[in-house]
Parts: sequence; structure tokens; C-alpha cells
Amino acid sequence: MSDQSPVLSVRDLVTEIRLSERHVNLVRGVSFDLYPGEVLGVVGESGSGKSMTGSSIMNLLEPPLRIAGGSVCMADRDLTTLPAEEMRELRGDRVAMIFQDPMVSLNPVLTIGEQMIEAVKAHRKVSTNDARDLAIKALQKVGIPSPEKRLKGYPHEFSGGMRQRVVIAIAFLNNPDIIIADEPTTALDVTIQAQILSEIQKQARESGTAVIWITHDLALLSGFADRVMVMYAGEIVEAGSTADLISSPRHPYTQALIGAIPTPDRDTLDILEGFPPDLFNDQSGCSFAPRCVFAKDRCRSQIPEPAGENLSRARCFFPLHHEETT
Amino acid sequence: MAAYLLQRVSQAVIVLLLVSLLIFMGVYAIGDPLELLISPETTEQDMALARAALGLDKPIWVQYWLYLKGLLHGDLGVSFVYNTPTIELILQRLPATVELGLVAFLFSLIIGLPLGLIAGYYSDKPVDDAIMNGSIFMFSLPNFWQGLLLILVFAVSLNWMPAGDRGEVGTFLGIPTSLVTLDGWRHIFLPAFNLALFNAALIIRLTRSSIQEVMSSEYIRYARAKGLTNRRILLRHAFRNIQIPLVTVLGLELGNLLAYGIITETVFDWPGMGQLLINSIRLSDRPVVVGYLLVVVTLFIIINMVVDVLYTLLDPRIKIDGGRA
Repeated sequence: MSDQSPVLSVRDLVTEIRLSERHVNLVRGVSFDLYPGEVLGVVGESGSGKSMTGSSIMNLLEPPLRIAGGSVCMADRDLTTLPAEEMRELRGDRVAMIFQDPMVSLNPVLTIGEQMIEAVKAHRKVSTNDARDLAIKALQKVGIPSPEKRLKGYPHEFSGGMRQRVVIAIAFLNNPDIIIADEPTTALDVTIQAQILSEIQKQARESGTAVIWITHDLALLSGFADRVMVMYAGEIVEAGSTADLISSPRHPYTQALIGAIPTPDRDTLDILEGFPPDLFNDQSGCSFAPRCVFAKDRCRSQIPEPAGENLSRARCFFPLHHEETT
Repeated sequence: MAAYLLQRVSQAVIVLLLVSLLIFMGVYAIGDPLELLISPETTEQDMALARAALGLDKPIWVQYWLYLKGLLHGDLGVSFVYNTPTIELILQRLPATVELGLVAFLFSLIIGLPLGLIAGYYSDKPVDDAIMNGSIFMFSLPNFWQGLLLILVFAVSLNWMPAGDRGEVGTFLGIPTSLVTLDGWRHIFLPAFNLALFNAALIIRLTRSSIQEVMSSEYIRYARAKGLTNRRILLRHAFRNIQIPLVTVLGLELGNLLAYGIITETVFDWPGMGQLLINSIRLSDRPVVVGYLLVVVTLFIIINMVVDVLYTLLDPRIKIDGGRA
């Protein structure tokens, strides 16, 4: 995979919130590459900056949020400095997004058809009829029965799973290079979750679209993502191939996440004590140190840099498993 | 649908009955109209005769009953003062008031909607501050004072428009209206503008706050993620959603403009129903007051029904029989 050139390169991305008294960084120096056709899982707890990273790539931040540094490069263009109109042309065309809650992401008073057709017409000069045909095909692909009829329907006439299928169909409408899926199955029933998951996987494979899958559920990613990045307090604390990361985590936080996954052979879950750091307070040392059972003096005074090669690295002074590899 | 209409109409009848009772008793309580109508030198005998002629000698509930019986036949009674049927008096003046109200409504939309959209979209930017401060003037300065100022500037100083009265009247589909003549438009412009200002300010504020609320919703974020233009997001996605709260207020405003443009009618000497109402109240001309107010209530009831039907057209989630899908 690494012999291909990445479709997206994020370098030292910093996203801040500007309040009248001070500026606080919520995404703190995130760097990664995304390769064509891969599924990259981004996992972390609420407030870890994973969704903010997604919105930053799309340049969908509203004041007081803004990108304060770093670059997001796609085909030699830096999206952070792109003029608004060029960024608009890119959104929904080259980079599409699927939001968490399909109940609120579709406009309640516009027909499904209109919301699909406009997504095509925003990026291509096609007739409404051609756009409608595309929409019908896209709905068929995600398994919505009698799509011609459903185009005239309104979102409230669809179930949650069906709405998310519509959103997925819209995401793939323009054959994007990248889809950013921000917890797209969190709001759905477990059975529907699996269907949606395989739907996105299938379509991404067919079209060669790379997927950034943002979630708080590491177990969900295990059978599905090619690579996983673990975020904590606005930083990527560990990244690696899914299999390696789950079988031999190097960062204590990753291990804690794995320890919290319920499995049949486990009687009790390992609970990670404490809360993520308040980014509004200054901190020294590793951001995970206060909760880390392995933390030493060095962890509390110095900030660890990511160690390892680009595709597999951890931000820890004392990585686990670093000798006994599996 | 038929059941719904039947329900609405029966509700309307009950409302009309209650209102007519209230107004009838209210006007009765104001005083004896004869004392105002007849000169003090009249003899007791003539007084009694006049009282009997107007039907005022009967007990109040009998009078009310007779009035209701008349209503069933479309008879709103005969004016004590003008001695002509009330319905004729009202119909004579209705077109002038309705055309003033409608044009003012149109003006308030033309002024209010775009400014509200701009203020809401650029919220807390200088243009928003300017519009909001401007709207404070529009609704806080007294209406009659604004009217006088308009006359002073546009009629007296600049001499662009006439200072008052209704223009030349033509007919359109059999309805006498001044809106079909240029002179009519020249006359109606200032009073309609005056009447529109207050309502335009309300529309600006409502549109702005609704847009602000809608723009932060998830489907607007999603629309942006789809790469739609800002123009389409504002005018289609956001505006389409605020039409429901807007229509509610616009319905009430239209009713107000049609029924209570009295101050503007007075300032601009507009021969509408407002003047008729004021005179009739002063002279205790009970049939005219009651008749006028019944017409107004009917107007409001009709507007409300139209608004309810518009809801179902604007929001696919609302069903006409009141349920939510």
C-alpha cells in the first residue's frame, strides 16, 4: 500500500478554538497519510479530537473553531489555504462526508430526490433527469427498494437505517476519492450497524474510495479497517495496522481501550480510571500520564514524540510489547 | 378532509357567536345611543317612539336574539346614524381598506424578508448590526409620527406623492379598486409604506432569529458538506425551514393590517373602514360596530384556516387532521 502515493496527506494539523480570553488547541499536531482504497479507522473517546479532525479536513469549521496550523494536502493542493469556492467544489465531490445521526442530517422539508439531485448538480453540469437517474442507481446500490418512488418521499418516511443508506448513497454519488464517515453507525441498531458497515465497505472496494472511519468503538474496527489511529487529547497516540495494533498495542491507552472490549472469555472488563485532560488547562508531559498505570517521572515532565515509522508509531516513552513481538 | 373542514367551520361559528355576544353586550354597556343621536329638546314621547323604532325598548337578550335571527339571513342590521344597512356601509369602505392592507403586507414582505435573511446570515457582522438598529426605529417610533414624517418629506418637501386620500378608482373583475390606476398607486404608496414599516421590522427580527437557529442545525452542516453553494443553502435549505414559523406570524400580521390600519387611515385621510369604526364607536352606532367587528373576526378565521392549510403544504410532517406523521 505504501508504494502508492497517498490520496490525502495531513501534516501537523492544529485546530483551535478561539475564545475571547485565549486560544485552545483541540487538535494538536495530527499527521497521517491516507492511501487509495484503504479503510483508516480513527478511534478515541468523546472530546479526543477525532471528529474535529474530520471537520478540519473538510474545512467545515465555524468560528470560534479554526485551523491554526499544519496542512491537509490532496493532489498537491493544500485544503487549509484553498479559496472558499474551490473548497466548495471539492466538498461532496472529491471528499464526501457521512454524519453520525441520519435522523438530523437530511433536511426534513425537502424530498430525498431533491437532496440527491442537488448533490450531483452542485458539481456537474447535468440535466435534472440525468441527475435523477444517477440518484436512482445510487439508491439501488445501497439496497433501497423501488427507488423511483422513494425519491418523492421525505426523510421522516424513512427508518433510521434507510436514511443512513440514503446518506451513503449521496456520499458515493460523485465517486469521491475519500469518504469521511463520522460515527455513521452509532445512532443505529446493532443489526443495522452491520448492514451499513458492509454496505460502505462493499461500495468503497468497488469504487476504490478511501474511507476515514471515525468511531469510539475499537471492536467495530477490528474486522473492517486496514489501519487504525488512536487519538487521545487531540493527538494521535498510536497508529498501525489493525491486526498489529490490536494484538500488540504499544501505547498504554490503546491497551486500555482493548481491555475495555467485552469478549466471551473475559469475566470482568478493565476499567480505565479518570478522565481525559482538560485542554483548557496547561499541562506538562504526556497527556495520558495522569491516567497511565505505567507512568514514570519522565512522562510527567517531558512530552513524548511519535516513535516508529510513518505507518506504525506510538507516542510513548515506554511502549509496551516493544520487544516481545507476536 | 371533509370532516376536518366541518370541524373548522363549526368552530368558526362558535367563535363568531361568542364574539358577537361579547361585542353586543359591550356596546350596550357603553350607553344609550339615543342620548347621542337625538337632540336634548326632544319630548319623552318622541324619545319612546324613536326607541321603539330602533328596537331599543326590548330587553337586551331579546335584542340580541333578533340580531342573531337577522344575521342568519345575512342582515347585519341598519345603522342608527346613517339609516342605511350596515352591510352596505361596510362594503362601501371595505375595498379601500383591503387594498391598503394588502399593499402594506406586500411592502412589509419586500422589506422584511431580504433584510431578515441578510441579517441572519451575516449575524453579528456590521451589516447585521445596521439592519437590527434600523429595525428598532421602525417599530419603536410611533406609527403616526412616521406617517407625518413621510408626508412632510415625500409629499410636502419633495412633492413626489400626494399627501393623502385615495386615488382614482377603476374596476378589476367587478371590484372597485385604485390599484388599477397609476394615480391610485401614487396615492397608496405612502400610507402602505407607513403601515408596512412596523410589520416589516417584526418580519426582519423573526426571519433573522429563525435563520440563525436553522443555520446551526445539522442538516445545514450536511448541506455544506455536500458542497452546495451558500446561496442554495440559505435560500433553499434554511429558508424552506423557517417558512413555518414565518407563516404563522404573517397570517396574524395580515389580519392586523386589514383590520386595524386605523391610525394610518386617519393620518393619510384614507377613506377606509377605520374611520367608519371610530365614528360608530363614538356615536354608539351599535349595528355598525358589531357588524364591522364580525367582519374582522371572520377575516381572522379565514386567514387562520389558510395558514393551517399552508402548514401542511410547507411541512410534509404535518397532516391536515392535526396529527404528525
